[in-house]
Amino acid sequence: MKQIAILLGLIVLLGFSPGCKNKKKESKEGFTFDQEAEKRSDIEITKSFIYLFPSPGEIMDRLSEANLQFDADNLHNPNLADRYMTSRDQGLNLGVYITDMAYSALFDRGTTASKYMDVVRKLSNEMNISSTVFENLIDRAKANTSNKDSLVQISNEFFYNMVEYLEYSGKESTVAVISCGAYVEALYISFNSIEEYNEYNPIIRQIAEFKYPMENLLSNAESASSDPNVQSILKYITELNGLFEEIEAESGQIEKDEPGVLSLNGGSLPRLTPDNFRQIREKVFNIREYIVGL
Amino acid sequence: MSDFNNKIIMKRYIPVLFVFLLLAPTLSAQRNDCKKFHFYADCNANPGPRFKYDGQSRSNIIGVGDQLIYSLVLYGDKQYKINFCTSEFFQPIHIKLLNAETNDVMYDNETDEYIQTLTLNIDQTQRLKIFVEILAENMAEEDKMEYFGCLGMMVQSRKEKD
Repeated sequence: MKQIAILLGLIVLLGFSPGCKNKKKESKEGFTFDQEAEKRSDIEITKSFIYLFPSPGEIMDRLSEANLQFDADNLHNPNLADRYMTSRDQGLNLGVYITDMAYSALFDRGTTASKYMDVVRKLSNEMNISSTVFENLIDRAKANTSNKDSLVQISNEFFYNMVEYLEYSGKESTVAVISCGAYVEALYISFNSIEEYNEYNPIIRQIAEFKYPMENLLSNAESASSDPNVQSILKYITELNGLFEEIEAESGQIEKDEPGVLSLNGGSLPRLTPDNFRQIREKVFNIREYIVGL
Repeated sequence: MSDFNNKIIMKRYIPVLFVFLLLAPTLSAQRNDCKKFHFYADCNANPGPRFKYDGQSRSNIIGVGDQLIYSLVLYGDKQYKINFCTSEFFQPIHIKLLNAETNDVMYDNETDEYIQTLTLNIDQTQRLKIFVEILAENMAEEDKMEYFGCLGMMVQSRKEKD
């Protein structure tokens, strides 16, 4: 009787403690950001660094504005999804397929985009990413295969829901792995659309701008580097980021136009030289080959 | 204690146990109730025509003493509206824009009475850091140690020249 009472008491405590919203927690469960802590009077100061970067859909949208064309040969074969057995390979190729899905949606290839959405859902299920991420998105996609704006919106929503789910589940490391695959695929598609270096090609400018999200992707991955999957791909992100760091650029200055309205002017465009172009392209193609295993 | 008494106790307490086990995930889900916070309240004010949602928007748990430093990528030839929101008990929100390379303070909303909506006109693509903390000026000191809540950051953008 005594033992049962103790057991029940423990279960009551366990059941209620996560719901104690009014207590200050010592650690923010579900978030594993870089943190620094110091004490100031009685209130502990905790800094959390959160590295953000555009979604694959937003990146492809920028590229389409730079006159990127659609080429189905650039896409990764969706029928090869079954060959990826480890969580790392599944995560990397999930990123690849998400970019292919966004690329297809953006160029009004509704049936192709829908096919990639099926592959993305399949791989996500195998990675135990909650099915609520896809809630009604698949059905909406199938009902809108001829509506480009809806498909683009749906493909973006899927990525946002997935990142939110993973971050709130404390799986930021999975976000880093998926984003690595997605960004490599976006770069692969970009480089494949250029026959030779031409500094006036607007896609070259967009490739140079990858410098910025790559820096954040690296910082994000480094903060999750205790995860073995992230550890195994950190080398590739670091090498790629190192090449992008060679691209020179200056940040601008802020001018205040009116309260809360600011202009960031000046600075310089990151400029991709022929050497940068060649080295980054070679690195991207090698990493992509490693990811898809072809 | 007799076997008969044990059976009675188990019959009574097992259902109770079962209910607590069912409730535990619900109770623990309360820690996730900042999810999509940036879609509500002041964060989701209409920014104007042609603005689109930016996936770098976030909602986070925050307490007094927590400093969140977001590093974002802002694209050139675009205008961004960044709305911050939190519970009224935690107001005002202190926001600083920092140079991503040097961490120099480029703007401090303290100079604009802690305005919570920033409009940024971006000339060239760049990274930017946004420092955020809640000051909770009207909260009792002992309450500052006790409570945390949600901070929303809604990022929306449109092309500057269409």
